[in-house]
Order: sequence, then C-alpha cells, then structure tokens
Amino acid sequence: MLCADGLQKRFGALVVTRNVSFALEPGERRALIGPNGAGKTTLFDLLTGEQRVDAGRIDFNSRDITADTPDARARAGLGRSFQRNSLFAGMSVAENLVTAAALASGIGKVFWKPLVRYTRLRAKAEEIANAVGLGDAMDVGVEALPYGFQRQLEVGLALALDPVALLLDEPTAGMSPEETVAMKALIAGLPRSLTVLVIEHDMDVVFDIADHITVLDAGSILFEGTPEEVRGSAEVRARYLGEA
Amino acid sequence: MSGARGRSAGAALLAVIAFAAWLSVGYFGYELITEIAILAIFAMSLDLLVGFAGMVSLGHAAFYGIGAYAIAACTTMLGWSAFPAMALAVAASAAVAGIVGAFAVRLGGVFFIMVTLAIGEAVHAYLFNARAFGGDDGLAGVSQLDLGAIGIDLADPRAFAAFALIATGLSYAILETVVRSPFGCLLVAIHQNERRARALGCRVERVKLGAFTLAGAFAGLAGTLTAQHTRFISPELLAWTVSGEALIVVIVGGMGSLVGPAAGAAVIVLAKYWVSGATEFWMLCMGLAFIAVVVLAPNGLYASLAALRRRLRRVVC
Amino acid sequence: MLLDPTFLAIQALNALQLGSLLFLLSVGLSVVFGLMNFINLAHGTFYMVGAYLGLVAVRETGSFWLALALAPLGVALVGAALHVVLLRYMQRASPMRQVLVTFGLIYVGLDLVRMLWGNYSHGIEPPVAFAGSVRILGETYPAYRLLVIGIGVIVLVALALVLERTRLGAVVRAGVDDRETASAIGLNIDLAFFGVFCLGCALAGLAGVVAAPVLSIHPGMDMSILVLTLIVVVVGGPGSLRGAVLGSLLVGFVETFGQVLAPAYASMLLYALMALVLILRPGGLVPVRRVVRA
Repeated sequence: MLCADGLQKRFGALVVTRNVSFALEPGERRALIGPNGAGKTTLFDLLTGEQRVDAGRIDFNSRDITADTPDARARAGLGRSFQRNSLFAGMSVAENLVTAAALASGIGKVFWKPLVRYTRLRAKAEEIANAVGLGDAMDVGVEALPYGFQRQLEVGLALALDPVALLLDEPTAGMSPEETVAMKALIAGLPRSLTVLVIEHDMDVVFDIADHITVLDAGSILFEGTPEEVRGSAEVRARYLGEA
Repeated sequence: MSGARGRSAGAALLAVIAFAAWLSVGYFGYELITEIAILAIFAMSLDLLVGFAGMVSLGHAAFYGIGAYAIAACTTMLGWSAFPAMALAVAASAAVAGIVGAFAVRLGGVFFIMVTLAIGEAVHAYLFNARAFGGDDGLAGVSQLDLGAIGIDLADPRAFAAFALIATGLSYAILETVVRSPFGCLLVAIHQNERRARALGCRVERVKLGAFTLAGAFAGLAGTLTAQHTRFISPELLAWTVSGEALIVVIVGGMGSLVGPAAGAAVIVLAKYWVSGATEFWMLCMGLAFIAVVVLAPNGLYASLAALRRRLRRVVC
Repeated sequence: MLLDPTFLAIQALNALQLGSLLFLLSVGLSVVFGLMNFINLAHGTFYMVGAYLGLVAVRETGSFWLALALAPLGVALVGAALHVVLLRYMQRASPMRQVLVTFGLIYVGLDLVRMLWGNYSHGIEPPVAFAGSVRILGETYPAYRLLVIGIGVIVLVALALVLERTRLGAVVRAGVDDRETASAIGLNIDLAFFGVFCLGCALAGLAGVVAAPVLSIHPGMDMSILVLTLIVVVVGGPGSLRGAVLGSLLVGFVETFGQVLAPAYASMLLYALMALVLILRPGGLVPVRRVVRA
C-alpha cells in the first residue's frame, strides 16, 4: 500500500532522515513514535511531497510517487492532517468541509455554475462532520471552535479527500483528556478500508489503536513491531516509554 | 459563499444609483459616469486577484494598457472596425496575462508584488519607447463601436455613458458568476490556506493562472472602453500610478466583494475631482486617506458598512 | 559593435557606477526583506528625500561632504519616526498591510517633495576634489563617477565587517536564517529589524546624495530607481550581502551595456533577465536558506 525505501533527507549539515524504509499493509493502523527531533514530521513531509527526498523511493498503491507533487499525491488518495491546525480561516465548519469536498472532487474547473447547486458537496460535508463529531457545530466559525474541535475538523478536512491512506500528525497534540478520548474514538472508528499512519506522543492512544508501531530516533528506525513487542523491548522502554 | 446575498443587494443598489445619476446629470456628469464605470471594471478585475485569490498585483495597468493599445492599433493602423478590434484587444490582454502569469503565479506574496510592479513598468517603458505605437505621443483617432444599426451614436456622451454602465453591469454579472462557482471557491481556499488546498489535491498554480488571465482579460476590456471614450491613448495609461490607483480603489472599496471596488471607483473619482478643485496636492490626500483605511479599516468601506448595518439591525430589532 | 578596449573600459566603469548606486539602495531593502519578509515600497521615496536633503545641506553649508554625512542621517531619522509611529504597529497586524502602508507613503512623499521644492529639476555640483576628469586608456572620464564606485566599495566592506564581527550582525544573520528559532532563543529580532531598517533608509539617503551630481533631482526620481532596485533584490536573492552585490553588478552591467549596444531592447533585456532568473532559481541567485526543524 504505502512503501518507503531508503529515504534520505538532509538540511545543510543536519541529516534528518537516515535510510528509512518501511511498508504499510492495506487497512493497517501504524503508529510512528519517537522523541522530539527524531524526524517524524519530516518523514511525513517526504511522504506527502512537501519536501523532496535526497535519495530513496516511495511507492503508493503500487505506483512510484517519488517525483510527484503534493497535490498529485493527494489526488492519488494520500490524505494528511497537520501537526498545527491548517484550516480555512474566516469560514464556518460547513464551509470548510464543503470547500475541502469541492477541492477533492475535481470540479474546480467549473466557473459558470454556482457552487450551491452541488448539493452532494453539502451532503458529504454533513457526513464527515458527523463522523468527526462536529455535526452540531456546522455553522460555527472555525476561529470560535474550541481547540479540540479544531483538531477534529483538521482530521475531517483530510477525510474529505476520500483518501486511501491517511497520515495523521499528532492528532491529540495539546488536547485535554476528554478531547483525547473523543479523538481516540474518532480514529478507532475510521473504516478498515483506510490505511492509517499516526504520529503520536500519547502512549495510551498508541497502544489503543495501533496494529504495529515504528519507533524513530535521530532520523532512523530504531525498532518496529507489535505493541506487545514494543512494550517488551527494554531499550525502547528505557529510552521512550519513560517519557509518556 | 457567505457574502453572495449581500453582494447582490449592493449591486442592485449601485445599479439604481447609477441609473438615477445617468438620468439626471449634464455633460460633465456623463464624462464622470463613464470614467467611474471604466474604473469600476478595472478595479473589479483587480479585486478578483487581490480580494479573492489573494494575489496583490501592482502592475495590473499593463493589461489595461495593452487592451487600449490593441484596439487603437487595430483601428488606426490596420483600419479594423471597433468590434473585432475590441475582441482582439481583450484576447491580447488575456494572452499576455497568461504568459506573464505562467511564471509570476509561482511566486509568493511580496515577491509577486515586486515582480508585477516591474512587469508593469516593463510594458510601460516598451510602449513609451516604441515609435511603432506612437511612442510618448500616443495614438489618436480610435474608432468607436458602430451601434448605428440600433440607432445609437456613441459619439454622444450620454449614449457612451450608458454603454459604459451596461458594460460594467455585464462585467459584474460575469465576475460574480465566476466567484460563486467552484472555481471561485478554489480561489478563496488558496487565499485562505494554500498548503491545505494543495494537500487536498488542488493544482494551485493552474488555478492562480486562470484567475490572473481572467483578470487580465477584464482589465483589457476596460482599456478598450477608455480608448473608445477619449479616442486617444498614450503610455500614461500604463503608469504605475494607474495600477496603484486601482489597488487603492479595491482596498478602500473593500476587497473580496466586487461591489465594494465598484463603489470605491465612484468614491475615488469623485474625491479626486473634488480635491483637485481645491488643491494641486491630491496625491497627498489620497495617500493619507489610503494609509488611514489600511490602518483603521483594512477591509474597506464595504465591510465597514456591512458591520454598521449588522449593528444597526441589532439595535433596531 | 565596438570591442575597443577603451570603450569597454569606460562602459564597465559606468556599469560599476550604476551597480554601486544600486548596491547602496538594494542592500537595506534586501536584508530587511530577508529578515522580516517585508518590503518597503517607499524605499525610492527615501532615496529622493535624501537627494533633496542633500540639496538643502549643500545650499546651507556649501559643503558636499557635509551633505554626504547629514542627508543619510536625516533620512534615517525620518525612517525611524515612521517605523515607531506607523510601521511597527502594522507589523503585528499583517505583513501585507505593512507593505500597503509603504505604498501609500509613496504618494505622500511625492507630493510633500513637490510642495517644498516644486516640480522643477535641481542639481548638485560634485565636490571640488572630484570635479575634474581622469584619463582612462586615452579617454577622459569624470572623476566623480570613480568616487561613486569608491563609496560603494567602502560601504560594502563596512557592512561585511558589521555582519561578520558585531553582535548586531550576528543577530541579523541568525534572523535571516531562521527567524523563529532566533527569537525563541531570546535574540531581539525586532530591535535588529529596527536597526537594519534605519540603516537601510540611511543608505538610501546616501545613494540619493551620491547620485545627485550625476542624475538630476526631481519628483519622480523615486520610481525609476525603485524598479531597478526591486529587480536587483529579486535577481540577487533577498537577505544577503552577497545577493545584493551580485544582483547590483548584474543589473548594472546589463542595463549599461544594454543601453549602449541595443537601446531599443535595453528595457526589455533587464526584465527578460529577471524572468529567466525567476524561472530557473525562484529564490534568486543567492537564495535565503530556510532551515526546517525536524
């Protein structure tokens, strides 16, 4: 489904990604953990195309996407939520989702028909809003949303793409315990047809939802395995789980 | 999306005011109306770029000037009649906008401003020096559209003013349609969050190029109307002050509303004449007023009026 | 096409003179842009004000050298006042609004200058020491133009020293490289910005006085030089001394030789150069490295 082979990335003298290789099976729930500065978000940037790899290859759905632009990869079905909220400012939740749905549906070349005619976009927006728990907040401006709801909308926007694979960057970052529970349920409720890769620091969330865990440290993969194996690894436990 | 209804109401109001004005003024009034109408088309085209797509251009007069020069060249040098010349002029403006846009739209905010300013000056300098197009003497004798078939003589200022107003109305209708379409939605999305738009599969540069080309086409249309109005054109049509004035109109009127810049055109033209009557330093006044608007009411008159209307409604209801 | 060495030498000196002037103007604009992503569109206005202040200084004191010292100081003060009263407030609001305010200042500056000194052109005589000419490969060449080149070199060396050896320079280099981290570790980027901005204004004013004996002083001199300066910043790449030098030399040479060898195409040549650079290297010839945190 999503395979990375020998990814390398450096910024000046700093090597941020060091020979990273992994493979995601369709429908898999993979967590990517590691300390700050390990290169997790940069790895996401390499996968989505926001940064070019210095070396290595990325395969998505049996196609080589290494040279593809971010929008091409998105059109191929690779969705992403960002570590810091990347919403459409000045609009309501509904408008955000309708916009996202319009972007994803490729109707952007139409400049003669009014947008409101496309009722299926509104329907899809409502569907996603309900899926991420924002069904009652459709007409609230995003700036007025509580932080937890904004993070949920962040995931919702990525879902509007109808992605085949979803990359979630620290979805519970900065959330209160209640909000974290809601987000955990959201991720657990995602359809199994979706392949999900999550960067997370909250170990409860990780052990709850992940089939497999990849541990990243200083740009390279330290360990890969099931949650039990990770918990069992003395090295991982000593270096990272103590942080949780 | 959310402002569509307000815009329609505003447009209807402006149309009524414009019609009433056209019925009641004398000769000089027709000249003012025509000038306002043409500036309104030019400003609305810039609003598409600045207010909706978020691309601040300081060289938009280039396409305005190309439209004017194209129709002038075709009618005075090639002997064409006005109608095909107008069509070619709009196409030429759009084409040049497409070429410039092809590399300009890849640039971000401040870089884009600098490059568009430079491009505007480039076209200005070229036409200033090009003897083939009259150099700094310009071209005279531009033909007007022949509407004799429906009994209208555009040489009559009253008729031309009406013609200009109708052109403005049609331009608004087309731009409003574009803005309400999925394409318009994409423009706003890119303006609000380009990164997110890209992550949702948007071909950002292609959409921006489309907006830039369309804006160039309407600027060119405004240029053809100016050429037919004064029947004489010169490189001064492409001076940076023309681009600057249009930007001021868009910001003072209220960017991202189409209606605001159209109204702003009226405000600026009338203010310019009024101030010029009192002092020769109207640029000082315009500059200060512009700075005041940017600092105090950055969303322009349109937004301030809308906010005022909301507040009044709360008080009254 | 004249490939005569004397001709080439003379034109090369002319190109260096223009490049020197452009360097004085572009370095402040470029570093401020690299530091704060802000462009002062009224930069040409400061250049113009510098020329007029120089005119006043020469008339009052009779000394060109005093004017050379006083005018930049005056312009720096004007810039500082504007920053404190207006621009700093807008900085927090949004960079675009800040740029728009400077655009409004162009109109204000133009009319203020016309109010005080009228619409006519004025001139300044070069200082007595450099009023004559020197012989270059058989041709006479105005000594003053050599002074212009010299001033540019002196400023370049001085700025390079400041950037490499002083604390302000270190803060500026850190801020251009990665503003967020620099402020996060406690460097006062805002103060550095203020300092660089005022220095940029002073240099623009200096350029105005330096240019006055060669070009005339008139309202409207601001825009023609502004466009050239913007091209220098775009081509050279914002934020670095090297970019400003490279850009200034490139634009100076293309403009000078273009005007002499192919005057009909001269104006277009420069814009073609700009377009070419933007297509091949959108960040300019010496782009700012933006360090991205892992």
